[in-house]
Amino acid sequence: MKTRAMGRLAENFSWPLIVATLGLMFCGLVNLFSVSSGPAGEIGSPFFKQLSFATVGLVGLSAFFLFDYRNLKSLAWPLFFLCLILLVAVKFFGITAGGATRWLPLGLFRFQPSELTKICLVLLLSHLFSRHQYPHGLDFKDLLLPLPLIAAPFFLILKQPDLGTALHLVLTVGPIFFIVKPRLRVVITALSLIAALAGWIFLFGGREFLLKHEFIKPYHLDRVRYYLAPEDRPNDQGWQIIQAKSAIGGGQILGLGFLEGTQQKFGFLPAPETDFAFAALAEEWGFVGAAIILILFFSLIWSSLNIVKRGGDSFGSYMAMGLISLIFWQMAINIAMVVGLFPVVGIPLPFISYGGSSLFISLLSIAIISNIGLNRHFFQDEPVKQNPQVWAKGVTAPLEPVVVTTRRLAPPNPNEPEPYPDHRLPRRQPWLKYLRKPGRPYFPPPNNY
Amino acid sequence: MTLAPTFGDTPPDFGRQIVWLKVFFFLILSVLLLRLWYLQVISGEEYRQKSEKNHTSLSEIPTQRGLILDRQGQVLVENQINYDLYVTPNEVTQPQELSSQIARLIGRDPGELNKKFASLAKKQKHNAHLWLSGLTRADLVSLRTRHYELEGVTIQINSVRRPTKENFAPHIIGFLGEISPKQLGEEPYLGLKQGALVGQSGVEQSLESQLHGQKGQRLTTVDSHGRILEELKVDYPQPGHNIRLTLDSRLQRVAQSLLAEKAGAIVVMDPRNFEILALASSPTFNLHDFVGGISAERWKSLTEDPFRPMENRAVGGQYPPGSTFKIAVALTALNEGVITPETAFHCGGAVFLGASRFGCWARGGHGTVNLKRSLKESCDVYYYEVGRRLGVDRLANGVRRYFGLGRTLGVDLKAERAGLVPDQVWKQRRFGKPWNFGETLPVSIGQGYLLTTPLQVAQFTAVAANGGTLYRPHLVKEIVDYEGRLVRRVEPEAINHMDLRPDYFQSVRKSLDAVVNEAGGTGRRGQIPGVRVSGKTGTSQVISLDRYQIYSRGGTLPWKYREHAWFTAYAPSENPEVVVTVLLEHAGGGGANSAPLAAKLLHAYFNASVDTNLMPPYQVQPDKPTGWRGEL
Repeated sequence: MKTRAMGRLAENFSWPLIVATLGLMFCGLVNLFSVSSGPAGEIGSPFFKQLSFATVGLVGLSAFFLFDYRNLKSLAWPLFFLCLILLVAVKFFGITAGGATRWLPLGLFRFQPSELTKICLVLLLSHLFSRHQYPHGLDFKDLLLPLPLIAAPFFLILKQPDLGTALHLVLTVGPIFFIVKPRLRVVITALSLIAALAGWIFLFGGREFLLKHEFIKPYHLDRVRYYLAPEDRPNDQGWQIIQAKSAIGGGQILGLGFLEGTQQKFGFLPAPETDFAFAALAEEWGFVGAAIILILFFSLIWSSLNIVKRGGDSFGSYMAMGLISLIFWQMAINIAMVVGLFPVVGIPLPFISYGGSSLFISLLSIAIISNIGLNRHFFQDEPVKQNPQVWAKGVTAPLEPVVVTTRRLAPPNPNEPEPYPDHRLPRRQPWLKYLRKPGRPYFPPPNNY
Repeated sequence: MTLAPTFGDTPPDFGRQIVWLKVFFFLILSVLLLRLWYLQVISGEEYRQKSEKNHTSLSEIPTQRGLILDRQGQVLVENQINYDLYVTPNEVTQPQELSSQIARLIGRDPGELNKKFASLAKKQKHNAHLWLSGLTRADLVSLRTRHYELEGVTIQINSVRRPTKENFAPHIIGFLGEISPKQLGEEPYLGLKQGALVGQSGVEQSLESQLHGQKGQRLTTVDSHGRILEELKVDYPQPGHNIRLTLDSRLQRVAQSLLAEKAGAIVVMDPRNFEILALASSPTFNLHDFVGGISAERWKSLTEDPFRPMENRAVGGQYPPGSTFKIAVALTALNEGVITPETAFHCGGAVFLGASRFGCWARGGHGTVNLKRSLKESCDVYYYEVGRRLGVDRLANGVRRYFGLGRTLGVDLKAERAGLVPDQVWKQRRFGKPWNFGETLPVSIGQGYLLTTPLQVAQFTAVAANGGTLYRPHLVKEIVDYEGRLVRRVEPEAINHMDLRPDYFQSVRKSLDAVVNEAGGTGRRGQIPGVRVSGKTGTSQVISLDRYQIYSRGGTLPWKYREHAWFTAYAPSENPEVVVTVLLEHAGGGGANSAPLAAKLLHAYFNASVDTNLMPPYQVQPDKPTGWRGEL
């Protein structure tokens, strides 16, 4: 019975997603091994720490498959308010480092509530949007509740100050709004508001206003300035950009080779295990290695978007959308920053950068997305047509999916005999479709029951 | 047949939205991939070099410039260790405070430091520039102890050139200066960077390629803090070659002393191989001003001085040679066959050509004059006739060919100038007018358009002395490397030989002997005891005769209009081994003013016991020549 449940899991399991995740984690560990080992060859502790984080994370990931993600719905509001409380608590009890108060002390390690807030906000918005249908698209009145819900954590994070995370929060929830389909007038209003904001900041007195009220800090402006002209300050503000570019470019096509990266080995590359891990990787593995990372990310995103598209319920789709957008923007901003297309912000590269909380959050996202993908067949319009192997025998009567679900997953219980034993599912051998030879007709396996 | 969704939820219909999102995400990933392609493949080589440069440090190992020695091997210029302060303008945030702090530490004027910094800040900001040179050991200690506070400042140990003798032969030795933008791309300076010190005058300049040596390089691996991890490769520096000059320090000292309080030049040369034994030019300047960089005002005072102390008059000063030129004219005429030693003309005190009168210096005339008498008494009319017979073109070609006039022969100084030997083509080119026959006559007595340098006068004197061979005059005797191995020995190089009958030569030399040693000779003051000296005086006018008339009535002639005094001599008469040419600017008659100096020099040459330390100090720039009365 157990094998049957597992088999069905495998049928709907998004293998590309999990393969890409594991591949990225492997590449991240290989890179971290090189980065944390010194020039003399000694292996640094970050590698072993990350290895244990990865193990724990993977175990957690597998454990998460046992839950039904829909249970998260009931947690949406409480978790969101918890995040807001934590964000306020950071203001009072937080650890200050580098001029910013972002962390809460949690015994042995410190915890960044803004990271959790991103997931919780995605969860809450998915929950909110899935409760209604928008046949004509999102209108202004539909935004009355979601917008303040975004604005509250946004400003709390902005005042920490953490401009990067605040912007990442907004970017993350953007695609959710997009797939819910805003109306044209909403889109036009939003775009003109963004244009007006940009105009105010860049052309009129917006910068001074933001500086005065500490929404942005002078060093933010410096970062943009030296992002545009790093050669002006090659030894301080421009250092990171110049050295990262030299590291990446120096890798050329095939790279300098494993453990041979000079920029990170001799300490020229800043933060080679965290923010600039991609630069270290690109130096040692060259364009080929960097392109493989990008391709892995691409397949991760592609398969997640497929889950969004074919996911059964709207909550799951919105949730998957928000989570993959979370990972995507992290990746895009980090790599763009490392290759010098974006000012320096402290956002790590998911799966590659060193850091337990970053890894856990990313793995949690992947786990939720996979879970959504796993369960999507509950909601299919024509399950027989769409899953011929699953429904090979054919169903002639409308079926209560809940009942089917129960039947599928529940072990045989003599006290509760099956109401329709004829409709029992065939033994499933989903891998057979991969083994069959092309061109030859496929006959489903005979029903053993 | 549809399945009812669970939990009252409908499967959403996303339509095109997901496709658009896929396109959008794909585009962003493509941009990142293209950027990686650009960084790693298109400009990968450039960044590879950048990162190579990052962790490898190529430091220069300075080399030692070669020494300059005199004929006897005494060191004339040596290298001295100097501590210099360098600043990188880009790294300094508060230049005012920095300069005032440094000024306080080492006791200098902060304003001057600030001014120098402002001028440096205009240059390349990322490079270290020399800010202050010649720090003492005490300065070094106080700067070193405060080094952590002084951002952008480094102390470098450089070696500087220091002449060993005060005011000695500055025109020949020369000084170093920063390489000029024009020199950067030129031959001996290839591979040098901006700010490099190279010779800018004298032997330092002309023998730069031999002197400068080869810099060493050290390639090391460094980390981001600049700590050296490993030494990859070392090229050891190659010191420059040492130059041994033909210069005789003692004679040079005598020559310079003789020119004290005078403006002029002395050339002492060996007629047998044209080695230059002394080459003095006065007024002169002090090479010690250039050690570690000359100050702006000193440089200004040197370049704007009306007496031009920087000019090497001995090889670069162009003067009409006056009567000394008669040696060359006589030899050329004998060679061309227009006269023999016995040919005699009548000197009536002047010749007339149309309405023009060409006078002899002796107003009453010399009567019948042959070659010997013409040289001894320096009869002008005789040479007018010789010039008439020769014609200007034959004369010009002869002196150019056999005595090297009108061109540079390549003595080892860039200051050498060609002088001017006029002929018909030159006149046509220069003035667009044909040659006037009346212009030939002044040229044949060393006036007119004719210009020579004192070195060229010494050349034709030496040709007369050695029997007709023109060698290349040279200052370098040999070049040896830093371990003493001979690199090059400069052999005398014959440029031309005048194939004249020996008895004709003898007659010219007898005549020159008579100039000094016989009654009625113009150069009687050139005599010295014990050695027979031959010579020729010259008094060259610098303005036309009618201008003289104006001033001769008034009595005093302004200094700048007075005649140049020439005396050129060789000794001993029988077997010449030294040629001396003395030029005094605007000093009057050559026999009266220059001949005594030549005599003193020859005396010192033949008597090693002459104590040069008792001689007057050299003429240095701020002093004024004799006869200077405040007018020019």
